Amino acid sequence: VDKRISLIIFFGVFIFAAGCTNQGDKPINNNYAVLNPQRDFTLHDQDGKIFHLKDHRGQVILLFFGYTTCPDVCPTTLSKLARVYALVGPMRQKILTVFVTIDPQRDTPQKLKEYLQYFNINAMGLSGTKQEIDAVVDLYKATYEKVNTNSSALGYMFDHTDYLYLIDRQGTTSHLFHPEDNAQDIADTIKRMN
Amino acid sequence: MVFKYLFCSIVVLTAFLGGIDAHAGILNEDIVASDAWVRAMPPSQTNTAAYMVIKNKGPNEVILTSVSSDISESAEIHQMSDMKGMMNMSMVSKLSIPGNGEVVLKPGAYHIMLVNLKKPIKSGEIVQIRLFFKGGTSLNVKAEVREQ
Repeated sequence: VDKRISLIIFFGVFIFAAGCTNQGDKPINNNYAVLNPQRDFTLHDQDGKIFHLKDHRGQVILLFFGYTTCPDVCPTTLSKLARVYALVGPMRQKILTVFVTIDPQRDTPQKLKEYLQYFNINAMGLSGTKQEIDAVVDLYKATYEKVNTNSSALGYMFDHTDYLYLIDRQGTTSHLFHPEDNAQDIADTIKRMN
Repeated sequence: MVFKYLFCSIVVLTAFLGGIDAHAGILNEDIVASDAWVRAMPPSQTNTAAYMVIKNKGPNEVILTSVSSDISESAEIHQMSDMKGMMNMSMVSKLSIPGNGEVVLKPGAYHIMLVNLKKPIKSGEIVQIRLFFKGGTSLNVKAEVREQ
């Protein structure tokens, strides 16, 4: 009986500690299904066509928010995703990367198209008005902030959340990846999906 | 009048010799840059980033104050930081390399921003990056353009 009580206490402390850690590291508490409960949003793709998330049921979607002028995090993520596509094997046919720009001012559809083609993955670049983009950002509890830089030749930059959202075939967010998750971690998680 | 010219000459000569000394000492012996590379970007992109390891083999701190490149109109030192899921990038005016230490410029951390590329860059190309340090010294670094 003593042994059983010890085990209960151990797991109780473990679960409590794990909960605290997640609370501190992430803005949302691992219940990813609460993100975008309607499992839909609408923006325009790089060819100017209307994109509805609900039209992509049956595909595994890797969603992230970024901007093409971003020289570090965004190309790092896209290069990583190119490796993920290579690692998942035949399943790559069912994976769609969705890059939502937070900089519609500079990221024209043509620019998004050229940018994404370069990384040689099945990807769509989405844009819209600032209000339309902000609505999607809110659905996924992401944030971004435009930072004007007088000293930098870049003019302005963005601080932004750096999560990569894994959306399952039913449109439900099932996992969030962080920049430190490598291509193998992401590929393994995707392969475990049904 | 003669004294004025003499004084000016001494000041200029001192500064010149001082510059040479510092240049020779730090440039050739103490600072080494390795694993330098520039991220290949789509042709439509006018900015990219450069990464490297800057090692200071001397006992004293060395401060990187500015950078330049032959392929871009301007170059800047930037820092990325991840604050609880929020990635922010900021320009920094200097970067300290501690004595007998090193600073790693890598994706998601310190990097050199090459802004307004003069022409599209291709994988395999070698570009020149020049690092300028406090005290008037500098270092030329050759960096390969590559995907990752």
